[in-house]
Amino acid sequence: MTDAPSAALLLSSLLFAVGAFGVLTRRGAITILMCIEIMLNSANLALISVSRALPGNGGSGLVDGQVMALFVLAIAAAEAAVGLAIVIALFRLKGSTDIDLARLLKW
Amino acid sequence: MAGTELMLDLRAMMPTLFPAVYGLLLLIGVPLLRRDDQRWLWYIAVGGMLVSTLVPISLLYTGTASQGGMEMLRCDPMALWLDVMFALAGLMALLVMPTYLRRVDAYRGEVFPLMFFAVTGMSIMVATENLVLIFIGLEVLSIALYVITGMVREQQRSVEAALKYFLLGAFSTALFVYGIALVYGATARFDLVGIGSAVISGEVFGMPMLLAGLALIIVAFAFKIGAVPFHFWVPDVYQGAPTPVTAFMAAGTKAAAFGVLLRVLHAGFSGSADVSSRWVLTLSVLAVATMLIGNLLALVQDRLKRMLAYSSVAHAGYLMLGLIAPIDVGAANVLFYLLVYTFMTVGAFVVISLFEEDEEDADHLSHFSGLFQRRPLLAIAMGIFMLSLTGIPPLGGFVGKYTIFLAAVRSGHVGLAVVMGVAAVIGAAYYLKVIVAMFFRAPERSVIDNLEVPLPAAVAVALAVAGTVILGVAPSLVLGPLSQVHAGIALLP
Repeated sequence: MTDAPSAALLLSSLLFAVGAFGVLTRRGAITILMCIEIMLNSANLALISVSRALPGNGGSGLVDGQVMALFVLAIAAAEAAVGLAIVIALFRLKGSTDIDLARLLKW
Repeated sequence: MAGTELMLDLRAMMPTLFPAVYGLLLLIGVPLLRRDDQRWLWYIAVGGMLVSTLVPISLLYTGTASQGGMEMLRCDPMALWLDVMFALAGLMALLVMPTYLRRVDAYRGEVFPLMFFAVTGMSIMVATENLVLIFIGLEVLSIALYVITGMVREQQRSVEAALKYFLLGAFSTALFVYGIALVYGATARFDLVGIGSAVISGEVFGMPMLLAGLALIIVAFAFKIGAVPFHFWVPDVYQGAPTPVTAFMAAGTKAAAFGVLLRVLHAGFSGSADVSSRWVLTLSVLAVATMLIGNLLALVQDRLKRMLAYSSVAHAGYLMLGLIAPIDVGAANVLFYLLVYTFMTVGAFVVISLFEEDEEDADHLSHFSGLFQRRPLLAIAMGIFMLSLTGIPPLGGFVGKYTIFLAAVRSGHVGLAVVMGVAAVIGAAYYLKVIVAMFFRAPERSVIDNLEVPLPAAVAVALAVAGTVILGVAPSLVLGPLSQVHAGIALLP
């Protein structure tokens, strides 16, 4: 692999770690949702940089990793829509989106 | 002839295509009907789910394995058997759905198309050898389930369960996607056959990347099956979700996740001993923890939904033993166990859903005291589910446990088999607690005096009892056809 893709992979793994850390430590539902988006997009970055670097197609890389990234984008949008709807439903009941307040069932 | 090819293609896609199209049609019906008329949707949905059960069964009887959907969707026996389980779980859940929803005053027609979408997602997951499509199927399933978990949006525990399920589900999806990206980076392939041959030949761009990807995929699915230490969401979500939905996801999601794991691990990552010994070790450790901790935590629960949630964690541990075994020993047993599990767990949750009032602790064990005096048939049915979950012969649960136990011994994992035996004995204690309460205690609450058992619920319970008993008395009916199921999953090296 050349240098640019491995730098991109390094960046994507750092972003992934940031997202995972945020999911595990933050208490606001919206913040957690954003951290999950960071994780998904770090995976997209990895997919695109890797598919560019892989041998094939006359040196311009493979295309299916980029297609996968498009699928991930579309599905992440659908997931975020449902997630925000659930957060709104909880906000109507509790007046807050802090997951520590959602304690009827223990976390 | 292109025409016949197209027909074959469509035929192989039917188990996936039918629920998808049917769900879309139902979705059109929801806004067209007034709330009062939406009970008609239920009749249509039950009919459709019945057809969804019969389509894979008829393909199992008539067809040989073939591919469809531009060679992306397979129609091999494993996928078809799992399709039967998804639709059966969906059917039994649908049968009690209106009774439950009317009681909590949240009858919403949207739940019916969403059930079909969930079945579609499960069916896509297990029918494909392509990681991209597995991801899409997983999301179709999960997004539909997030919504129906939080369907009773006036009820705080339902919404909280949905939020918890969503956050952890999305988190595990992110792990899965990153795992796919790493595996793709190491092998340049998304399809398991290509990954498998890259693993066999050892021609990968970076072994650490491949192993890290595999680890992330395993962790993601450990979340989905509820393996310890990724199980903590299971009791909360199972308890908070509407009980018929709990029944559906307990059986359906578990079957789908194990189907994917069978295919991914055995078709993709079992070619080289170096790679396969690593995931076998990982899963062995997870299985021991899952079996013991699941059963021990179930012991201290006195609410049935929570107890059965921990019991489902423990059963995931047993099933992992079948996953670890070589594919020709393990696959048939895992599928048999999943089928029995579908009947007995959905049956138990269906009985619990009859008890559930709007109050918080409706599934408390004390409500079941003296059920035998008031409702003898219901108590006997629940007793059969509990005995089968314990693993008492001649019920299906016994045959399932026994064959998994044998598979573990035959594949050389004697230590794991011993742990499984110990765990099953611990498990017996809490299942028997329910039986003692139902048969040997005097009725103490008024809940069971005005218990309604509508006809559809009775049909669902009868179906579950029949399945549990028949699979125990004549297991060869299913184990026979299943014995060659591994051929479609992975070619032996």
